Amino acid sequence: MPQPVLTASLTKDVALCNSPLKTKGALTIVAEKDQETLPLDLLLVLDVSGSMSGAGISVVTDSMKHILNDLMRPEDRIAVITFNSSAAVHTQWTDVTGTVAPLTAGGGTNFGSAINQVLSFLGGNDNDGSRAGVAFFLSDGQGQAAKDDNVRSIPDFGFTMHTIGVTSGANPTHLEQMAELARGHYYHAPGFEDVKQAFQSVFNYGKTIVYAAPDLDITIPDGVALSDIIQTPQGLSLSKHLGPGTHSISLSHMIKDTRMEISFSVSVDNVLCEGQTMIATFELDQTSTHLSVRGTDDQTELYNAPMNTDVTMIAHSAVAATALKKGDEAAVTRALTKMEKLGTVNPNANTRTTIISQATQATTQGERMEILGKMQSDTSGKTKLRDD
Amino acid sequence: MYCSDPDCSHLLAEADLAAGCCQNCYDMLDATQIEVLRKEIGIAKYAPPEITIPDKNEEAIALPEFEMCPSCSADLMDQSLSEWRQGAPCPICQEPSPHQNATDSTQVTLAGEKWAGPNMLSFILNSGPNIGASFSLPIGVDLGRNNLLQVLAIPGYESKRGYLSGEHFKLHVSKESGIVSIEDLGSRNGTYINGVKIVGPIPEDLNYGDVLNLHDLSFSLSAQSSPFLRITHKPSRVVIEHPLFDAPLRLHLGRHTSDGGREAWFRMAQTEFVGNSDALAALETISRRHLFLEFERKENQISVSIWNEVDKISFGVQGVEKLFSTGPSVFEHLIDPNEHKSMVFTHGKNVFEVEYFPVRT
Repeated sequence: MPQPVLTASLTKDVALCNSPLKTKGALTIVAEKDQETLPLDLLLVLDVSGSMSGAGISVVTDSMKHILNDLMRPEDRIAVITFNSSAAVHTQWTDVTGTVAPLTAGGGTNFGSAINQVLSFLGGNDNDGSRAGVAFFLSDGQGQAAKDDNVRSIPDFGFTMHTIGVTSGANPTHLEQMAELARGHYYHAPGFEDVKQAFQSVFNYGKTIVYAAPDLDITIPDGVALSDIIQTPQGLSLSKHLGPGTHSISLSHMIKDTRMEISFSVSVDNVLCEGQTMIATFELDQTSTHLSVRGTDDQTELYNAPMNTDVTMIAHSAVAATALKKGDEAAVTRALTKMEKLGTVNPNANTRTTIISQATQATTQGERMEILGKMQSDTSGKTKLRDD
Repeated sequence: MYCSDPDCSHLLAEADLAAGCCQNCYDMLDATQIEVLRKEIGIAKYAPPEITIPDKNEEAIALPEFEMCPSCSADLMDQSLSEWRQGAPCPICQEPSPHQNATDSTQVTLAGEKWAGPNMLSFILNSGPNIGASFSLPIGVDLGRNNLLQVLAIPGYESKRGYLSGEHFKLHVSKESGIVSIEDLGSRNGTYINGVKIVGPIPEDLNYGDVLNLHDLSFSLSAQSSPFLRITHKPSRVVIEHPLFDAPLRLHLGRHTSDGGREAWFRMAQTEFVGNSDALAALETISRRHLFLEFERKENQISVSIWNEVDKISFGVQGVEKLFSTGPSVFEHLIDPNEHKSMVFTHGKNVFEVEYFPVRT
């Protein structure tokens, strides 16, 4: 199993000693160079309630056929779970040679039973990390909610779950929250025609996965706390607050040639004057990195210590991405203004400003999230917009 | 100044400036805020680590790479140049290439070395993917695209090397004052300090935190990048600090210069202590020609030589104690350049503490 490279840094590597400190930090995770993408397990979780009958079902069926016949590679697999008032496995794992039986629609909508079915199905899947898992949850209506804890445990099976809301009848709040909990993206499809596009987009995303939803272990010593832990570009809020001890958090997938970035706030009760003050140890698989800060009372050194513009940029991106998700336009503008200033020293900040501005101008929340999801940094840290 | 986050009304102060981050809400300070805050606190000079690349009036011109054959003065380029560098004879005059067996004498030390060395200065990179990296450049050597890019090894910069001249600039350090200066060697695309182009053969002073720009390569002189000496006359608490850029360095710790004038540091101490009779009295115990120290780099160590020409002096450093007899005598002591070292010279009521500080990484 290839190992990713972890790098953690703070905005400044020195701090005023014998004092408390609050600052920002960032962890970047880069896959090994020329890392092969993993074979993809695509699990479709489809709403087949009454409202989907007719055009809805036929578009979904067409989209599935398109994936099966045109997009899937020989090593990929697909499975289908359907749900209305209850849920059932419609098609077991099958590769390109298989077929999917026709879908029929009718009945109510129960998200809870769908998620339970997903968990029991994935429980028997036995994924050892050698395959990428992507679940795609499609619904057109207001459903009876699933338990947050259940949705949150989907990444434990190496799967991220993306959600798609079809038609204006869908409840985006609910579907967005599910996507966030399961480390995926939310796609908005106002019409059935957009469904096909979303399927293709998720499949293309799945094809580029090099590392299936990994767990990040964070060990924090006494006197230190991390908060507002956010993964970019997804803008996923991983944890609000982590105190001393060892914690495990699920990340979203790692994409080929993309740097995963995790932004966080750091608070240290007291920075030591002698040597380094340990802040955290990050561990992913067998690789780990330490984050520490050096204390000094030399004023000149403190004030002139360079700010790590990458950390600053990652933090601004995270703020912008989360604000964008919440629809807090004022906060997005504030973050963008700061990022624009940063652009004078860090050209990547300019690229990000452009991409996020573009996202703010999109008409629907789903489109905004999709643009954000396509904002990627390659392994050298250069930001680009994925074009699919 | 208050934190710019509308939900946070924290009054920003020194600790926020030191951390570059609001100590209440984690909001990061940008360059403008830092500048305002520094003014408020009264730290006038702002040495910005986050630097803008200056607008250039002139379009950068890329030069083709060439080298002159020393025999026939022909400029060799392209294919001829690469063959010439691999040791083939000059295609014009057929004289053998000096590259035949040569090793590159201008090769400079790679970044990351712990001790920048007495003839090196440390810089911090402000641009490109390696932003924040520190590296060392030699003093008194013509620096250009070849040796500079060797040190920096910036990925993706190869294509832009033509924007740097073969001999672009040179660093100087004054032996007397320790002031660092930079000379532009008539480079094609110029050398900029804080956005101002420097011209002509007279070197411009370079202060800590000043930003140097060569095309879109930007770096600044790292604060306290060189080893330095701090000499404290304990009874009067007079402190002299001296950079140790340019070993051998000779210091005189007495009252008078060789031509009978007053030593500058002694005169300054006298001015400083006007009205402080205790300190002035303590200064009077310093002899006219008191003590000479010479610092020299010997292989991987620094040799400290001591002369005394007047009186009994004892030298003390951990594990070594030595008493000098009256009259001229010389004593040599070796110190590790990577370690902070304190040496004490005692002469009657006089105690000089000489501290050596290595470069801070």
